Amino acid sequence: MRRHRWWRRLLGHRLGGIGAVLAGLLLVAAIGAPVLARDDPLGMRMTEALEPPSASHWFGTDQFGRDEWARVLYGARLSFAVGLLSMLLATAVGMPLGAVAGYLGGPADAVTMRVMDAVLAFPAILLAIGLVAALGPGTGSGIVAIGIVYIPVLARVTRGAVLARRGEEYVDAARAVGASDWGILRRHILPNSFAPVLVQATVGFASAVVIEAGLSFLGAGTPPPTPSWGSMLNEARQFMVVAPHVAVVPGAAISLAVLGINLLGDGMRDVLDPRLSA
Amino acid sequence: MVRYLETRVLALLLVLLLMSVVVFSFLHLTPGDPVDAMLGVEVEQETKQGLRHELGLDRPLLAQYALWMGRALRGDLGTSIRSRQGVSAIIGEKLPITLELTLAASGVGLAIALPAGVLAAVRRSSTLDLGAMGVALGGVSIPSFSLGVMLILLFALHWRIFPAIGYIPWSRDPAGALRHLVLPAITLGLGLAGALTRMVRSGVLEELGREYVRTARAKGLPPSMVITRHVLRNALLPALTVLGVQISVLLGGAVITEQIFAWPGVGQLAVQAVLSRDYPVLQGTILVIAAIATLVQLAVDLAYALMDPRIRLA
Repeated sequence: MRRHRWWRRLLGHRLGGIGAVLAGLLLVAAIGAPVLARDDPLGMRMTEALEPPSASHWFGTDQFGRDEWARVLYGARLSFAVGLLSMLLATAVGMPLGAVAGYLGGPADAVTMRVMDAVLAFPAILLAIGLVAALGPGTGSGIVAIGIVYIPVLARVTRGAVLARRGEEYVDAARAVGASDWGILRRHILPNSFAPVLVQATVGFASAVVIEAGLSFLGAGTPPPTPSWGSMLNEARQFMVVAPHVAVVPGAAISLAVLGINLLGDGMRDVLDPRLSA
Repeated sequence: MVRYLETRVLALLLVLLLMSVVVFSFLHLTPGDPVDAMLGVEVEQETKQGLRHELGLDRPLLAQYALWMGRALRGDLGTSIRSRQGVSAIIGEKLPITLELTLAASGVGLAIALPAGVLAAVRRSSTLDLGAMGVALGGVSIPSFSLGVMLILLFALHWRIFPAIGYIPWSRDPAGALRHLVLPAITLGLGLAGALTRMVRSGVLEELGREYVRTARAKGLPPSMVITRHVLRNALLPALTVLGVQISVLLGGAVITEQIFAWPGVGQLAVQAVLSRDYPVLQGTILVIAAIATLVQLAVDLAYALMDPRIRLA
């Protein structure tokens, strides 16, 4: 019942609703790619190269005659997977780190947070590039790199939430009835700190999509021929004079996806955790 | 203030030290032998041994770090394994080109964000406000590589107003330099404009509700004077801190923007270093850019403290 109202409020939230719809479209594209695509995203037909949008190819074709509609859908699948997996990694590592640091305080907190500060001080894309260079290019390295870049972000927000909850009466009450530190953290503090973490992970999801596309655009991410919005855009630069659609299609896809997830994140912040909204 | 300065500088030194450990570890995260990764497997053992020795890889890990850091502190970031040039010299040559781009982008960002943020706040909930916020949201959401490619498509290929790519030094041809700077600066600056517009708007909105504004209005000061003389001075302080954080984002964005526009700065250098597996260049570039971002952040925070007595004296 509560969940139902939560979604109602999000959809009623002017911009959050638009964000939820755009993010929903991304999810549908990602899951439904094999059904929705009417063509093989890797199937080359040189005789049909760089065709403008038509009834047979809704978004036209690329320089190898591959169907852009199919490639954009499979690109959504890749973006979604990278966003989800990298944020799961960042949350799985960052949340416990931040929770323990915030709950224990003292030297453990100071050391953890200084290390997090150092990682956070790097421009995100640059750190991701360095990590991908070390791990070797590829989608898997990209996911790990983006996950590592966002560990400090999630650690920080978890720590902040834990610090805010630590002094609450129900925590004192739990301690008074003899609950262990670990039990208090797991049963009482973390469940009540989940909203800001979820909001931050959603915003991070959007950044992960941008960084993955950026890495692929630079040639350090997902290697061809696998469709990634970033590499599609990069390849398009050579052909966009004669066929602008090859640049417009992936460019619009990235922008709409990121806009949607950002709006969703803003809306969730307003709905889930009114204290955080500016 | 002295105490505040001390804590901030100490924290900065610690962060810089930890950052250097992160950058140092790039080479050691590489699966397998980093020398194989750089030179390929088919190179003679002697050459590999030579590089291993040059990079200090034949020593214990701690000694390697001490050697690398010691050299870095003296301004020696090693030698490129591709061009055999000194890394510090290459970075020194390319850094001003990147700073030119980031400065121009900051200018674009401020030139858009200040008027747009103020107007949006003053005409709250109007069409103008909604439009400004929509543009700001777009600026934040549209990735630079997507925006840059679209700008090239429209302004360089379709309307032929600006050159699509390339860089010309100011000393050679100022008019050409400016023409080449416009599209990259807009590409990099719009994201900043988006983030700043939101900050300026909420800063001005907050100040507009204060008593001193009412007093200034009551004594008959024209609305434009109330904004410029009273509100802006207070509203811009929070926006300044955002600018500090945004410098890091800007320097990261420069990596991609430089690649789009074939802008020969340190960002392009970093990308080429990744693609050619030139680790000394990559490590040096990332270390220098990250250090600059951190130092600028500190400078902005100090400027903020100097301007706001509430922080200075706390």
